[in-house]
Amino acid sequence: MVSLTIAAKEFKGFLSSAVAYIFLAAFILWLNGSYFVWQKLGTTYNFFTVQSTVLDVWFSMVPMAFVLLVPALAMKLWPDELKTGTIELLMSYPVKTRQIVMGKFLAGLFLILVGLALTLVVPWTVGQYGELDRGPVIGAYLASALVGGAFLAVGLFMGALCREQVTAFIVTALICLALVLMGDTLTNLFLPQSWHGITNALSFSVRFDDLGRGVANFPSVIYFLSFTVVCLVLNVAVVECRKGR
Amino acid sequence: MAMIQVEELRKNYGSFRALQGISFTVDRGEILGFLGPNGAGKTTTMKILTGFLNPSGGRAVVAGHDILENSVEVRRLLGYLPEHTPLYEDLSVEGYLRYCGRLRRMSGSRLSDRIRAVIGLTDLGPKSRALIKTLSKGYRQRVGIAQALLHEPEIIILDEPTVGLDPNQVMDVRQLIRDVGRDRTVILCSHILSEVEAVCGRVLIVHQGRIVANGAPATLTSELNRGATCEVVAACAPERLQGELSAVGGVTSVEPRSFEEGRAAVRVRADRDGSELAAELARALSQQSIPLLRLAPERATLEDVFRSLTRDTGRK
Repeated sequence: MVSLTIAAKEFKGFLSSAVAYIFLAAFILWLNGSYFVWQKLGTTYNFFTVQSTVLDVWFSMVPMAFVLLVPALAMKLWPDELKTGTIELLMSYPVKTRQIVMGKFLAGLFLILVGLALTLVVPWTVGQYGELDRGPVIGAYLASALVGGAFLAVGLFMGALCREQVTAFIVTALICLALVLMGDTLTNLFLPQSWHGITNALSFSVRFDDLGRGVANFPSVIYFLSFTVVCLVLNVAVVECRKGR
Repeated sequence: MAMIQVEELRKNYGSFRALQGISFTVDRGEILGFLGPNGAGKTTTMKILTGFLNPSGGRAVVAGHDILENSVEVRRLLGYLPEHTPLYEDLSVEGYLRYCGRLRRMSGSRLSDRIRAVIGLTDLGPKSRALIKTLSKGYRQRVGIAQALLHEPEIIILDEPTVGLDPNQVMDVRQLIRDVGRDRTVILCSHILSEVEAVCGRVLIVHQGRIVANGAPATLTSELNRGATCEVVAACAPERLQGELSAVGGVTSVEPRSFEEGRAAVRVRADRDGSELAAELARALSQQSIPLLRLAPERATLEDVFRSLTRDTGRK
């Protein structure tokens, strides 16, 4: 309950600053806009023979959009609290640190889900043109939510660790970028074959594509979830450590 | 029963020893003044009691709950106004208080009633819908006090509550503290000595992480008032004045202060009670028909106590 109270307050905080609107606008412009660009290019130059291929390409852009946008969302949550000192008052309330972390996480996650919901217009449009295969679309949305949540958890953790918005943003974006470019996406071009198994297992984009194929891929779901939980636990630990001994 | 019991509390920031083992107790219904120069360890002590910092050693028990083992329970009983009054700028006064109440699991009509009550107590009515970021320092301070009183806490800890208030508001807040302190436990951190003297039943003076004095303001000043000092101004030659006053019983020294045309001032020290001394001096001068122009017993104030205990500011 307390987590939800904190989440509601943080979410209102997003809405009363420009962050939420910029996030949503950028997200929708980027994704919804790019779909129609791909589609235009595809039909003009015959890149894609099947509509659903366009959708695949389009979905694979989600992690990259998140690399830039989610850190921008997350960077506000902890540094503001630490800089203004409101954390001191918050921690004098009968509230556990994990409830504070959870509240902030839920607020960010909700905004990400709103952003994703606003992109539903694209698969809907595709459905209007022709037959839409629901499985991969559901898989891709699940994967998007999981990746968004995981990036958000990284951003929260870095915000608590760095205490400064700009630093937190840059560090988070770099970590997220590394997670996306890992594996067959990029790094495997430069790494020996024996590493590929590990890098692909860790890669967000490889696992994202797996889920987007619509196969119920539990290891990937577990991977994203446990990654998120580890970041949140580390976040709690960092805040607790600040109390000193 | 002691509401707050602090035993040998220590806190180190790296190699800097901010608290070097302080112990004290506060009883229910007591208003304790926590005095000390800047950097003495006042705020550190408050941050430990309210759960923002962990102590490096020692322990503290609040209403029977250990602050480390039962932190949440302790914080349920506390109302705290931190130094500098950190608030959420984007919320309205009422929205902020509602949020504070929800965090304390208050809801429904009790929450609404309490919000109305603390807004009334702190005179925030006209600003209740204003955003906190638009408020002046005085109003912000009152929002901070309002949230500390919202849940009718057993224990109220106020760190510099009157900073930024105008004199009328200062008086109001002091009266408010006296009122709530009647049946609750209050710790008031301050470096404004007159405030502590006016409000607190007992004073702790902290200096360089240690408690250097603990007692009622009157008891602390009486330490310094042992032996009395009087300033005497009379219309006669200074030598004569000095001679006459030296003969009064108990007088240990008569120092000349100044001499103007026909008018001498001296400071008399004696090892007897202050008011008695003044009477004796007046009688001695009237017997000699020396016109007395001024007779002022000097009393040590809490400020003198504070200065004499904390003047050594060089850290060892």
